[in-house]
Amino acid sequence: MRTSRITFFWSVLTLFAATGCSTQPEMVDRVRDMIVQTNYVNTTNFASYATYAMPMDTIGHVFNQDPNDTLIVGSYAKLVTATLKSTMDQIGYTQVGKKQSPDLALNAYVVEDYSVFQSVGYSNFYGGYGGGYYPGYYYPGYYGYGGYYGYPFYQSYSVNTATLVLELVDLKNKSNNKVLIVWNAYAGDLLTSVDTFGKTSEAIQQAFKQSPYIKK
Amino acid sequence: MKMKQLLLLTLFLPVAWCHAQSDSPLGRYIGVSWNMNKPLSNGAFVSDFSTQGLQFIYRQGINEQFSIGGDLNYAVYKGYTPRKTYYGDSGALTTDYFNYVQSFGLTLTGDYLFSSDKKLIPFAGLGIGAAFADFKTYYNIYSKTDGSWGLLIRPQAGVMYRFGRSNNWGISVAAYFDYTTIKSSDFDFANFNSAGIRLAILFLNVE
Repeated sequence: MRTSRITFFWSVLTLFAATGCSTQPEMVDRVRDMIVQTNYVNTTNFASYATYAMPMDTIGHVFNQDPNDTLIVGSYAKLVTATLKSTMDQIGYTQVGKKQSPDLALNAYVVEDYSVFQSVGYSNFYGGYGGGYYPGYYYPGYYGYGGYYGYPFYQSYSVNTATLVLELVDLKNKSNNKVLIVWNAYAGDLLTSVDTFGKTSEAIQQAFKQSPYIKK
Repeated sequence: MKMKQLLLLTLFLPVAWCHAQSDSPLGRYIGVSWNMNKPLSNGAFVSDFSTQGLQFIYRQGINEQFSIGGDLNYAVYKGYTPRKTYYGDSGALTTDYFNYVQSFGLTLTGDYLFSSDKKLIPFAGLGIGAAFADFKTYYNIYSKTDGSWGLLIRPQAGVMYRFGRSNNWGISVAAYFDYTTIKSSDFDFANFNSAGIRLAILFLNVE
């Protein structure tokens, strides 16, 4: 009987070892590519815009652990702004200075430690909400407009996450000194990515690729 | 019958049977098995053949033909959807994602033994009990989860092999079908059914 118990014990242990592992995918497999989510106001005629403004080599930073840390400069900011400029130029938009009455403002910033992605449902993987009415968190006042339309995201804290947020803001059709964000894109996660720079560049291009309505 | 009552019945009925007198050659026996499963429904969520299954078997022989007891089983099912763009009315989402289901089952099970006095013992049985499944979708660092209880019905058939009359252990191979009423509206998931094969080691005439 003692032998049977020992055999049984080892059988259980062996089976646990064989079957108990791997109840979730490896993180390296999960973060191989970034998620790219885009939203737009579907009544927008993107062909009606001709020019855009975007500061080069600097992007915004929304970081709940250090609210004063509002800018990112350096190689990552250069990569993001250069990729955006190249993509916008290819589409046919012309970059101008912010004082030259641009039709669009192109914002780019990194949101850290907040959850920005929507929950996804299996049957309709992309849930979506009606366009991006995100307020101008990106160094407020840069374009001289406020415009707080509500907070469709930043619903919850999500520690150790970072998301690149892109926005196209309609400066051409402002009303009551308020502006409308007609398109936005989220790409992440930046912190766990196996190749943050390369995958960011891919994600920016993917954001525009899956937004074929942005055209001249 | 409510799920909790079913669960309690599943737990305690076999225990009550432990004290029953038996003239079964197998007596009371326990076992542990490696289960391999294939999901038969909701294939869009998880479809991969799973080798991550485990089961504990408990039976009390009532007579030469019948034994009754319980099964406790666990399985992990997986599915992977490659990177793709999903379009909606106001935007799009590009990602790949991994679906996982961890399922647990507890059944009150009765087996009919076709020839319990021989080395090779074919059997057929039916288990009824409760099942719980934990559904999870992983996309990048994010995940979405849901859990659900349901009724579990498990018909099964197989064969036991006893290593001689003096040996109190044997092996068993069985095929089974799991029908459950497990649902998840979050994942558009209904009646998670699967079929499987189990390879078990059995310890017979346990005191």
